[in-house]
Amino acid sequence: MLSRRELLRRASTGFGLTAFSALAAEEAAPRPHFPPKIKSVIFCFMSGGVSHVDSFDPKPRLARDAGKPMPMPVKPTMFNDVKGIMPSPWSFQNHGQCGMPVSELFPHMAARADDLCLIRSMTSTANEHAQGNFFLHTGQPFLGFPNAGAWINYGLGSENRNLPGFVVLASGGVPLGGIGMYGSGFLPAEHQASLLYPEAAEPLNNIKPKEADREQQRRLAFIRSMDQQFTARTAADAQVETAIRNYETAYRMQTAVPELMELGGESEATRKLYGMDSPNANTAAYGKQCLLARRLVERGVRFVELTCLMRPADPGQSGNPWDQHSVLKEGHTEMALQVDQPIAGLITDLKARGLFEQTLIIWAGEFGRTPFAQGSNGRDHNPFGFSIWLAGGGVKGGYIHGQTDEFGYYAVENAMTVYDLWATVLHLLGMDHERLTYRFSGRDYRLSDVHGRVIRDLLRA
Amino acid sequence: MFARAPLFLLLLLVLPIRFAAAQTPELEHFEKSVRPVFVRSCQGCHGAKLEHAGLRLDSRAALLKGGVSGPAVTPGDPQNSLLVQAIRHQRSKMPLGGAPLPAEQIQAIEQWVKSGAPWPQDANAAAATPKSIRERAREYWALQPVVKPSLPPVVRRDWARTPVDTFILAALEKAKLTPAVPADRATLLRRVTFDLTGLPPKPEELLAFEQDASPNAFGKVVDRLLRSPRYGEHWARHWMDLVRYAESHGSQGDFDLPYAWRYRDYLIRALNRDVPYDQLIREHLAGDLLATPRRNEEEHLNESVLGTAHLRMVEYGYVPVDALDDQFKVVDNQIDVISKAFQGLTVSCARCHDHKFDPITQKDFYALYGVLASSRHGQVVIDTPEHLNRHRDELTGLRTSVRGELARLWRTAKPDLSAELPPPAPPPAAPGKPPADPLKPDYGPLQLWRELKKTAAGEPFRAAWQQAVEKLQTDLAARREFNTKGGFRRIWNLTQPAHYAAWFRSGNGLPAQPAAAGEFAIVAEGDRVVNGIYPAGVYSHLLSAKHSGVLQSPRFRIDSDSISIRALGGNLAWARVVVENYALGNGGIFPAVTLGDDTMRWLRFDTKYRRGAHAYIEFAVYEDRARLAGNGPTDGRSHFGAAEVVFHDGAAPPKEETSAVSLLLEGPAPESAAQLSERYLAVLRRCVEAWDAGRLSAEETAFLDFFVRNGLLPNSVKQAPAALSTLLSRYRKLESEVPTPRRVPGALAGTAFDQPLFVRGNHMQPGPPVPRRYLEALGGPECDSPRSGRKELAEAIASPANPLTARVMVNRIWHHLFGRGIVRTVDNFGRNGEKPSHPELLDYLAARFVEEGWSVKAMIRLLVSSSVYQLSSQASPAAARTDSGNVLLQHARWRRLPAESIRDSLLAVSGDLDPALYGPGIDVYYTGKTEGGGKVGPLDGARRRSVYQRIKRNAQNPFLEVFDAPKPTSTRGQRDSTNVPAQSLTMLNDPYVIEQASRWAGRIVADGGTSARDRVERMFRRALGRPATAAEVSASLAYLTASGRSEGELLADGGVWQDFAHSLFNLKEFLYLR
Repeated sequence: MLSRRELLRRASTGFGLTAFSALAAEEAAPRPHFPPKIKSVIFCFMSGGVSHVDSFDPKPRLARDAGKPMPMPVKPTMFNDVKGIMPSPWSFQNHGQCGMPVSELFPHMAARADDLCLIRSMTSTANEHAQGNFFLHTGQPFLGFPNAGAWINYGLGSENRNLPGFVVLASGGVPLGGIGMYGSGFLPAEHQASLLYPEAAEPLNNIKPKEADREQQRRLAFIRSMDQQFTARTAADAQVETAIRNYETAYRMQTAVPELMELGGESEATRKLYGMDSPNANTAAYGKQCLLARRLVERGVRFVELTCLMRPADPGQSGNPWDQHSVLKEGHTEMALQVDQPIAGLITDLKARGLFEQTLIIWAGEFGRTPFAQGSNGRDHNPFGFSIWLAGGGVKGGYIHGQTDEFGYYAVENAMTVYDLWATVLHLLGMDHERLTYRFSGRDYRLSDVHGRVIRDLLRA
Repeated sequence: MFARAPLFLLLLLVLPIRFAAAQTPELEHFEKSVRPVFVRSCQGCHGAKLEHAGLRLDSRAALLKGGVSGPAVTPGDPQNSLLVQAIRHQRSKMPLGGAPLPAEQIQAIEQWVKSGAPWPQDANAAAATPKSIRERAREYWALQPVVKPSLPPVVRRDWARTPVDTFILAALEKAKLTPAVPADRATLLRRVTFDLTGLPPKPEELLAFEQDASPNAFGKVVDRLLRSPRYGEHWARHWMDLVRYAESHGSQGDFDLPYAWRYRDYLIRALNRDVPYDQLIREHLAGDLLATPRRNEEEHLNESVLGTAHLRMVEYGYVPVDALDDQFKVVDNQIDVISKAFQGLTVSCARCHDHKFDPITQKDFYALYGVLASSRHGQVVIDTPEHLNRHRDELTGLRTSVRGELARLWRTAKPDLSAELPPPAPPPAAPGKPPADPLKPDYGPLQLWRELKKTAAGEPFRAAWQQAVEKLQTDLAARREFNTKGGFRRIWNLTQPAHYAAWFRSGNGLPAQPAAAGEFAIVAEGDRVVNGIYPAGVYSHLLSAKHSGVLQSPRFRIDSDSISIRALGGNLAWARVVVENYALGNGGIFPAVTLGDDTMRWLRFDTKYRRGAHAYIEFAVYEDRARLAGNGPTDGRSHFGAAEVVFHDGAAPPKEETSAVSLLLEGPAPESAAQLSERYLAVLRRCVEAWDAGRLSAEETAFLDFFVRNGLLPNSVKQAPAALSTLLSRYRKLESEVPTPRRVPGALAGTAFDQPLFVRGNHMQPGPPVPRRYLEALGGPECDSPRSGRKELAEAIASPANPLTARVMVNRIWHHLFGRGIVRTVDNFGRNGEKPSHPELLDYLAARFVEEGWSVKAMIRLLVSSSVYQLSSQASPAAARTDSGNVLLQHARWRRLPAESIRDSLLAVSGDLDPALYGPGIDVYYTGKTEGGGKVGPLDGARRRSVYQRIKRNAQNPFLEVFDAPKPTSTRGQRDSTNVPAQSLTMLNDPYVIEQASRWAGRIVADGGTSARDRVERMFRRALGRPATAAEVSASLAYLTASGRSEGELLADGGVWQDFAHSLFNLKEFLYLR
């Protein structure tokens, strides 16, 4: 089925301009399939893969059987350097009224345990980063398919016409697989992510006019008058009219983006809450991303993805800073320090501002890590069972879903797939994942491919 | 993968609903309210996968037939229909175990039964009553033979300039529409220039066209454009969209595909030379297998081979744990691209199940899988043999002479045995990690001398000799025993012609027969004449290390924990166990070793991790590697030698059994060091004699080699006697003139095999092997060749009898010239695609295309010469009312320029465009981040056309992407044409646009146009390909002179003109064709 927008986009002529405008206006607000619980998603992507057995999934047997070989068949690993069972260097304590065990890696998140909807039975099909990243973001293990953020914008549109509906805060590293991961695949390009660089002089590519505003306005007026002469003379096509209007939007974006990035109006207390005063530069930078994420959802942006910053201790790494094949303790400590307080601060701030109920935070890496050691002190990739969490509108807080075996190797109860995750997120946004389709190359594609179930256990009654 | 079959089925069954045109209200009701209920609530158990109670609810016939309880419906009588009773819970309470259907659904089904249970004729109906694939193919328009139709009658025969027009006009007249007036010349010139070359017309071209009053003025323009090299650049880009052209493999690492750009240049040349389309298809699928490849005499290359490069433009996983899964993805993508690009079919849909709409079976998919997976991914050489083998005969002759001269020299040499030898060579490079062989003396045959040289003559010497000999013999016996008892399976001995012949070889460095012991390579530079004397084996570099060489074993299943090879090499040649065709493996869980040692050694691969996988062993010189290193040799020299392959389970490779020392043990025991020294000389002489006579034993080779390598025999170029010196300098001169072969990505022949079908697309569940062949619907005969079957595939597709090939291609050409295909879904001619708007026209063009020798240029010329191509874009009111989509082409369609044309126009208009053709991709300029922070190229892209910009999968050109340049993932015959504010921001603020405005302004100011008005008029013509209107000129002048400065000041002010140039770039007219 062609979407209305698609029809408009492809039609070369024939729609009267008025009809086009009316349709375009209507199109600007595609409707959800049913009343949504949330309006926006903030995806805290933990690139490289957080070790679940060291964070949200305590496994006492790892200490008991330390050093022994795994008592179950071990699947092929990426580095084929399988050593004995490795206990967690961190201890766990129960937190919140719910008593959720969280390791000492994440003290701030632990303090928000009652807000977390923890999934301990997440699975993936990919064992390497790029494929895992593509799979988690698009439901397919390679380039060319729309990111979930693109799907959501395609399904719901943006509420703010002057900001892109899908934003990646890109002060962190580019995940392996490249920025194509944030693309719109076969969906129209307007749904792809815009990369905002919080630390850059030009936070969005080409958003900064290269001349004084007055100059630009004068030029825009000239261009507009020329364009009008042209369209009048040639009875130009509707797409030309749209292109003309895009200049107006573009002009407004030039103001809206700097206004978004301007944090002067944020109080000292807010900055502190996010850890922006941290002496650790990465914590401060990640805190800035979290604060910007709040400002973006406040402005109606549908989907915001955050990027982890690279560890200064390991300059060779490329985009997957949680990937501790060795020195797990040092690496995870450093990474947790980067994201723990900012993300907890984001939850607190969203709640304080009444935005928590209309927002969903997803905290997830592309896979977890093995319960056994790689080399002397690392863990290899484990897509067979790992932990992620959700927090926000529509999902239960202080809830634990699914479990892994007693070593944390395989998901053994309520195993959840990437398709289930997105089916559930779409459901919260008011969309039926089976009805959110796009016809490309003779097939109706879905974010959930031919899979996916809404995991109702996660939802509040 | 498809664990939940019902859901999976559900999707497939939902699909046709959207497309099946419901002709009657009853059918519409069925599609809207009934079928979805069947699909969602019933077919999970009563469908193609499960037939509970023998009942299926997926066709009318099946419902009427019913299940064990009898017919499910009685058309017209809901009360007496079992189905209705069941969903009302009057009898078996369906859906079983679930809540009853909502009342409105029950009602809808009742109403449907009452109206006679109508069911549209669609693919499902066909599926329910199985027909043969051939039958189904015969029923579908696109699979029926092309028959050239006669021209339809039309009224306005004067308008119809070409047969194309007759078909278009007939449809317009039928719809009571009158074609628009012809476009004015400026508009037409801009249209055709962009369409044919992707660039704007130059002002002088506009002038010439406007002033040409001859009736063939436009024909001359078309001829000029088709002759322009710019044509090939533009249409090559269209082609690149079809084959997802990319210069890297994506995923983690985004490894380069070496020399991929040569394929782009091939396309440009081929299109400019108008190589027939059927020939290009043959080259794309089997260019390496053609009996008479197409040669390019100027460039000394075999063009045909280049076509296969697209087979390599796949995305690989990064060190995939599951290599077969990765192969599955790769082959799936190859099939997807080939079937879409050349046939407009979505064969890839059939990887899990028979195609639900088109007559393509799952077997078809795996038949093609075998064809494609039977070829291997590698680099191939494109040079013509004559070019490649430059000086081969003379070098061969010189080599023989050098051997004679060296033998003469060595026969009389008296090596100084007391000379200090260099310290033992370091152990060979890591990956195989063979433990040092404790039995192998570091000092080779001189070990004995080192031990005994100071021993007193007589009894002490005799005793020491005896002891040393015993130790050597014990060692040797131990080695032999180890090799006998170590469970080594000697699979291939490449020194034996029959074994060697079973391997696959490519490259002019590899001989027809394995070399006997005693071969050598003359060193190209430096003071050494030869490095050493080689044992029997296969060598890639005996004439020149620039020669190419890939040597691959037959395919086998890994059934041992280790595989050891006996090999040597240098300059980053490698040896690998290639697992499941994964081309990028280079260590770790993909066993590989860099051959950095010029002495034959045993090297072990750990293959335990890959037991059970299919694999082959590969030796390749550096430039022939599918993946290059960052620090490769730059002189094109690299080499390997290979002798043996053994399979075993132990952790150590076989031990060296050749004992050079043993030669010394023959004859009476020496009694003193002096006698031993004599013995050494005698043995050495014997070795030299044997070498000269060409009958070296393995021991003699090792002995001689040791003396040569360690400088104990004359081996200096500088000190060579005159005769040898002359030979060497001649040899080296000729060798330096040997060209480094040019490589491209391509396909290498391997063991052909039939691929087992993967049950439901699950590669862990192989079914029976499917014989290699093309699609059954297209009559693909089984391939009985011992080769892959790519050649047969090429013939099947490039055949004039193939109903799709010509149709799909003329439709693509039409799409590019008219903005929309006759079949709008250019990549999908299946039932899920759209039907042709002008089926007879499509067939006329397809037939004519074949008749005219598959000439793309002739087809383009025919189409642009038509009246319909030359129409104005102004719609008549009637057309706007009755044909709002302009399907009938009453007028020309508006089109936005493709991304490359926008970027290139800026260069062309500014005067910056460098018209250079060909060459390696220009690094892209990035402002934002890229994965791994790839190299950043110049902002102006070296002033080259966009087609020359490098395409890295993980870091694409941001400027082109904004304007919908496609991601290189699969066939994209129809690009998006989005319309988003990011495009406006790009044209307003992108530094590239501003730089081009600035350069244009610089030229305008320097050119010294005489007045502001003159400049404005010139700039309009240049940017928009037309003169400015009076109103535009005055508005522009008002804009320019707003600052109130004098004209003189204005003319000298580059900033003002840059601003004006930038404004012109931002006019919508600049971006659109009409």
